[in-house]
Amino acid sequence: MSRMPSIAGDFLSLLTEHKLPPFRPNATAGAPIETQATTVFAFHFAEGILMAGDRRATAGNVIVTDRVDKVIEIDATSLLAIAGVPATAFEMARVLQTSFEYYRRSQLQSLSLSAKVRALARLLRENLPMTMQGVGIVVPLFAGLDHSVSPAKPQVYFYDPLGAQFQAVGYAASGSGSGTIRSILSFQESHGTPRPSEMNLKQAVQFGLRLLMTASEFDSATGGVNPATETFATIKLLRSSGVETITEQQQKQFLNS
Amino acid sequence: MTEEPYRWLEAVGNRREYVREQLKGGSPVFAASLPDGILLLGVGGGQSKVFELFDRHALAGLGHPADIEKIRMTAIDAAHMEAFTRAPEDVSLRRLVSFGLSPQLKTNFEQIFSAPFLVELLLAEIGSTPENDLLVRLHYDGSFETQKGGISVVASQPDAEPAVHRWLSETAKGKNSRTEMADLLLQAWWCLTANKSFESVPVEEERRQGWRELARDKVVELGWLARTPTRPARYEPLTLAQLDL
Repeated sequence: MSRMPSIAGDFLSLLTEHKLPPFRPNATAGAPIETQATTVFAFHFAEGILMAGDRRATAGNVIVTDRVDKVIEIDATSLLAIAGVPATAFEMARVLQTSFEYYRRSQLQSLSLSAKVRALARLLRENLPMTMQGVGIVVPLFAGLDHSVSPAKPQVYFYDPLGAQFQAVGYAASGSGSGTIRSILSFQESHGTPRPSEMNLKQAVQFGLRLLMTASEFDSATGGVNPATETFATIKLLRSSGVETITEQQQKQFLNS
Repeated sequence: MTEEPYRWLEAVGNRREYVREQLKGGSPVFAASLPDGILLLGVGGGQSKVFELFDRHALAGLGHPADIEKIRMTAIDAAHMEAFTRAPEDVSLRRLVSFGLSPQLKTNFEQIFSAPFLVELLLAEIGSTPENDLLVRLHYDGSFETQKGGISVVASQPDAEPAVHRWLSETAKGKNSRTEMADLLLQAWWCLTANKSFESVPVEEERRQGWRELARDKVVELGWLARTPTRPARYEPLTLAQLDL
């Protein structure tokens, strides 16, 4: 009735057995060049990690939409922020969502944080042909809970397009507006009061929204935050207890308070 | 031998007897549809009996742990493949059982030179309302019965199931909380395990004391499929302490 998969609990192996690999090994030479532009970031605050992103999707100088969610809940304790080609990035998110839940349900235990971090690195490596041809680059951020300590500790990782993974000490950012964000975060961490890691929830959300407002001033591909037009960001928190979403209504309240 | 039809029938009959004999003494499992979700309950000696299958689906079973494991994995593989290639909303218990588990169990049961699956199973799918909850009782030979909402029981002795089902359906009226239902299911578990008649059921206090004593050195497994979606995965394992039992 059931057969043992080549790697127990590995959903990618199951897909391969059914001849349904999520990523094509080769891109065609005539594939259209897609541009990518975005701003996503994550930083440690007093209660955990805040991960946020603007909601604009562009193709060249065309604004496609201002309603994209680039911070995605992968499971109850993992977040992914995507920067890069949306088609590839959203597919990676879908593969991770199914893979993590498949492992948890089939093996009756959750994947470790290290394994989750490597699972994303593996997808980036498998996407290498597309990345090298410039048609499928993805440079994500990942946040997960480290259960090897008690209480579980939220951690942030950033990647290069080839799949190398790095743990962020205080913050990480990706996308075309990330230069601005990193500069501000670095300044605030070194000279600001309070430092991002000392901020409470209200301060962290306000700070996050203002970071995106600033990034959008310098990067046309980053959608701004404008309460007057009800344009907000996607903001999710990762605490020891798991993932939580800061809704648009909450963002509005935090900005006005 | 099997070229002769009556020999084949005899062999299949022997397999039924063999499976029923092997399942004797198995600890019953239950599923109950409540206003806020579906409660699944099993009592074992350490081997798991209640499992999450997919976002809205769960499984409870009795039988050989290795056979339950094979069927659990088959269901999980099929559900996740369906969710990935189509969408999580397309994973349905009806299709999972009708086109996946049931035909495979039937094929296996009728291949008389291979070992039959020693399992009796109960599968649950949470719906938008209790009336839309689906409970499927799946047998070792691939046959199955479906019901919308209500309570479903898997007993090691098939003869006992109608009686306990009737008693539970009657007694559960008005019991809408997880705690009340878990307590009642454990009373039914004790009656079945201690071979109490459902024609003259012991009084409630005796039943309650009975399950507490009998379950003392066992593991009570509780699974909860929540009706209100706070996350895609609705399943949550519960403990007796969480239910104040």
